[in-house]
Amino acid sequence: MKAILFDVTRCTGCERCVNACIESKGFDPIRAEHDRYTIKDGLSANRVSSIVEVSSDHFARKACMHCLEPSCVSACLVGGLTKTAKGPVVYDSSKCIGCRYCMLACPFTIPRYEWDEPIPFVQKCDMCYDRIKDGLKPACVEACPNDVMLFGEREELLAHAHQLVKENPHQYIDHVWGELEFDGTSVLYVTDVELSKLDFPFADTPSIPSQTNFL
Amino acid sequence: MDRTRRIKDILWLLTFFGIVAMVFRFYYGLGATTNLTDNLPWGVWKILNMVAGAALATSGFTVGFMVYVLKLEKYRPLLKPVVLVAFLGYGSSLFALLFDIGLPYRFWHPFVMWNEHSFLFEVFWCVSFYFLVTFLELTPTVLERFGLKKVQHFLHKLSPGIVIFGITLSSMHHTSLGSLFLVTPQRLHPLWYSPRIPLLFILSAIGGGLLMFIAIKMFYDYLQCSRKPGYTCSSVNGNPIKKSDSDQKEDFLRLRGLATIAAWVLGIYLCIKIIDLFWTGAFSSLFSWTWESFLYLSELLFATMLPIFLLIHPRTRKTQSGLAVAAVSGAFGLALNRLNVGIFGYFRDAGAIYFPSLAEWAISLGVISMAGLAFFFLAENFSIFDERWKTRHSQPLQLSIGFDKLSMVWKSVLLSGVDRVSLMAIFIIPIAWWTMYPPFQPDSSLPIHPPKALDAERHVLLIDGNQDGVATTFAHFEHQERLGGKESCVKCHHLTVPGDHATPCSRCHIYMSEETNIFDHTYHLKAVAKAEELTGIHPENNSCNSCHAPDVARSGTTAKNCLQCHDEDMHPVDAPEERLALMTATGYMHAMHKNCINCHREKAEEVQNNELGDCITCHRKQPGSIKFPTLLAKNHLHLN
Amino acid sequence: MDAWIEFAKGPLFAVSFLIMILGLGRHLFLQLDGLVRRKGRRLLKAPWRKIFTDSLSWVIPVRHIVDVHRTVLFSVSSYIFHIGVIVVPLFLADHIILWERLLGFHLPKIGTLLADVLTVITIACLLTLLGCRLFVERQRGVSRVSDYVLLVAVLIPFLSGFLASQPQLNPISWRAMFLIHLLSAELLFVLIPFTKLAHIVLFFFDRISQVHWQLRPGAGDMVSETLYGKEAKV
Repeated sequence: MKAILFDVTRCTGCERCVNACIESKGFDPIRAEHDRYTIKDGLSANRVSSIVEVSSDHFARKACMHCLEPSCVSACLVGGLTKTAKGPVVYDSSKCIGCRYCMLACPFTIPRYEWDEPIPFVQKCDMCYDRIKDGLKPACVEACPNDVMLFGEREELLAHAHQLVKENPHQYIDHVWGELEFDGTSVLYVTDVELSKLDFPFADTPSIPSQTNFL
Repeated sequence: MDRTRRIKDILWLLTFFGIVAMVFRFYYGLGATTNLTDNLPWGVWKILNMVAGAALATSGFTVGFMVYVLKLEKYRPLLKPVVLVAFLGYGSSLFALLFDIGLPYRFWHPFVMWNEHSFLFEVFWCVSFYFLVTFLELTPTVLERFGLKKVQHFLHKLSPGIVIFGITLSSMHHTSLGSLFLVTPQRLHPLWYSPRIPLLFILSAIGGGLLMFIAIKMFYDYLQCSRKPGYTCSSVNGNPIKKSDSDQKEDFLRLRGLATIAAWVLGIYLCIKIIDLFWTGAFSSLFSWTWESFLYLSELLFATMLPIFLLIHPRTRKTQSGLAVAAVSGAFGLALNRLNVGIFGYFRDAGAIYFPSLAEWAISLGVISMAGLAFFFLAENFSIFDERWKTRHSQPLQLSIGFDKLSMVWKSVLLSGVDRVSLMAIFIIPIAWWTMYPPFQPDSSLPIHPPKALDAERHVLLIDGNQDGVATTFAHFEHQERLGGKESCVKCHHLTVPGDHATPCSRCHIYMSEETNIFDHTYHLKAVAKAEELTGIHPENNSCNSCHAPDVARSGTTAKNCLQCHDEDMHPVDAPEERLALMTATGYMHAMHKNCINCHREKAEEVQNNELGDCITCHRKQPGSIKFPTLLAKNHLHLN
Repeated sequence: MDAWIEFAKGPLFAVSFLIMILGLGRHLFLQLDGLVRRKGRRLLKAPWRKIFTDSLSWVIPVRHIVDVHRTVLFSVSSYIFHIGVIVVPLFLADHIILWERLLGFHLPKIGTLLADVLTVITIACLLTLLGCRLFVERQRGVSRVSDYVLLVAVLIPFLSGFLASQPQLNPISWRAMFLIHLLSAELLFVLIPFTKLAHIVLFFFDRISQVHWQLRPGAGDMVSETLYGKEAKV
């Protein structure tokens, strides 16, 4: 189970990861640039990952969290979204009927819709599934000049994150975001500031499928 | 007769508006025709037409349950109208969904591709099968007119089975329509989010659906009849249908019986809803007097308190008007509840307001109007409310048209069906076109805001062109202040993407030492064709002469200078005459060195500090790994 | 002024053009519907050949013009006017762009000189028609107000279009003339389906429905019956 560990203290907000993402996904860079300026969190169907300033001079990535028990996967009525064994939550556009229930169901408000297309699909980060199948790193991780993001097995990254937090108690808040939230996500954060500007409901809550499984 | 015509006119008007909006929705896509956003992806088509529409058509299964299971024979005459309402309610909901979903030609996917964990999957299956059930229940009534006795008989035999099947499906999908919103505990407002939402949905649907049916039935009777005692009802072609006083009284008592049942169900619903408020701990937010709490209170008032009061109070419960007000208020309250849960409850989390666009209203109401017209057609031509069609055609059509006066000719046009409707169409469709045609709409997304804090006020940049982990720091904010604030951007940001004013260096200087071609020829073909309004099937093919001289070999060196069009975006630091220089970006290292060192050397002379132009100014050995950009910025300042 | 021109070019043009297309389509639909409903199967046995030759004889009206000596000026100018009124708006080079934006394909275009000459001829014919209606007693007798109004309504777009394309003749500013051209043409679009200008499509049905069927033997009795009651006989 692969995962990404994001270190907020190292990010300078250069957005090279976002540009690499746009390039590797083949999005239109001009439209992506336009959306960067017009949309509050910079996420759109042309720009599925973005960098948000969470506090002055502190930046954090906003993209799909790849939950371990994803709400979108349980919501999609045709099974177009799946949690793969390798970690990423991937979207199969050949099944999608465009009901947008995944967008409503996602607690992080991540999936974006191609509103301007006559035949629209959902767009979201898939952790570069095609690349990691070939043993490569995701494009954003590879592009980062400052090793803000680490890519690897989730357990190892968690151990690393806990070690980092423990060894530098004055630098980090003693918590690894994404370890327990919504029963765990495949994107983890260590940080020295609050992440509330990401608009993520980071409460210590169980996953949505387990909350609604009483039927 | 005139009442019916007026209502039908309105329905036709809305239908034509809807048809135009439907064409636009498919041609221009969802973004151009709706106000839906990524944060509020479900709009009026899903919530009003599907969720509220299904709830308002619930009477089909409740009355069926009373007659077939509880054997309340008193309500048997209401079965046919109830089935008609259910059929049209579900049919129009499903039809509206075809416009809402992004890829309507794949509507059959859920039948083949299963995800049985999904609540929407359950809703889809139950609703489509229940629609089939109502269709089968309605068929015998329609076949009666054509006299297909055998099919009719066969379906009649089946009908109790069908009805039981329908009741199961119906109760299932009403709970799962509520469960749809269970997956959004973080996003839905706590006043409406509750784990008991499926139970609340089915109870309110039973009560409100019955009241909705009562409202429809009373309205239909009102259109047909005068309400004087001992009246005659006139129908479409002036054939009177007589109903005795006792018949009328029985009608009223029947409806009041239904309303009493509805009042009981709504009473239970009200109790559960208030208990639930304490249970989920949302009671405090009810009296925080936000507009959500007002919506919640008005929903409770209209959906439950007012109808219950009117149906309990001895003075109002015996009158027609009391029943009518109770029915309308209950139906309105139910619809309001569904809108609250599906749309208004999400505003707080999204931090935005969604109001449907004109096209969304047009399709939503247009679909409902089509169902209304179908309702009149079926009610007038088949024995659903009465047996009118049997007498209607026995009388010859009377022509009272003269062509001696101009006014009479027009009157005949205005009276006859097809002429009248088509005359309405040729005025309504152009107006609908005008008001909804997407290219005529003001484009709100065009103005590009200047870059956010991310770039303009970033204090320190880390420069690591070769990506070897050893970065150099650049005090961006300090440089900006020293060089003259916001006005100084152009001193370094010599080339910007149109619309921007400080495109980052790495946008063009991508590689450490290689040059990058930054001129996108294909993009310019289209952009130039658009800007100069070239015409033709492939206008971009005509755009060559806009940049290249017609009689010289076409190449980058002979083309028009970029600055002629982009003088606002470009402030090149080196010779602007060099055309190729604008098409290629030098390597990152070269660009940085050229941009910084020249200026630093000039300043070095000015302030008598030779070190300023040297390598050491930037390529300073950093203490340890770089972790705190802000801290380093202060160090950097200090060293300077 | 520019805002008005933009408005007249955009929304107003779309609305008026749609009203014309839908209105003419409505006439077509109602006529076909009425024809099928009245005649049913008998449509198959209709004298198509006679209808066709008869219609054609009006399209190439040599015989009719020679027959009716007294109105030869009216007939000839009316005939030429119809050629101009079809060719100029459809195939004028400046209008081609409009059609292409609206429909997405090219129509063949006519030269500027030919267009100018045709326009002048059309205007001259229009004025002749107007003169005939005003000064020939027999024609004045059968003319109604709407006949004069419609002639003027057709004249204005032609005249303003011609003046807008000839700057040296234009007495007022080009923009004002262009705006007049747009607005008057749009007014004409709206008038077409509701006045006798609807003969653009109804022309074909007049030949089919009126001449060969409507006035079948005994038709006069039915008319008088409707007008004066059952007892009246012609």
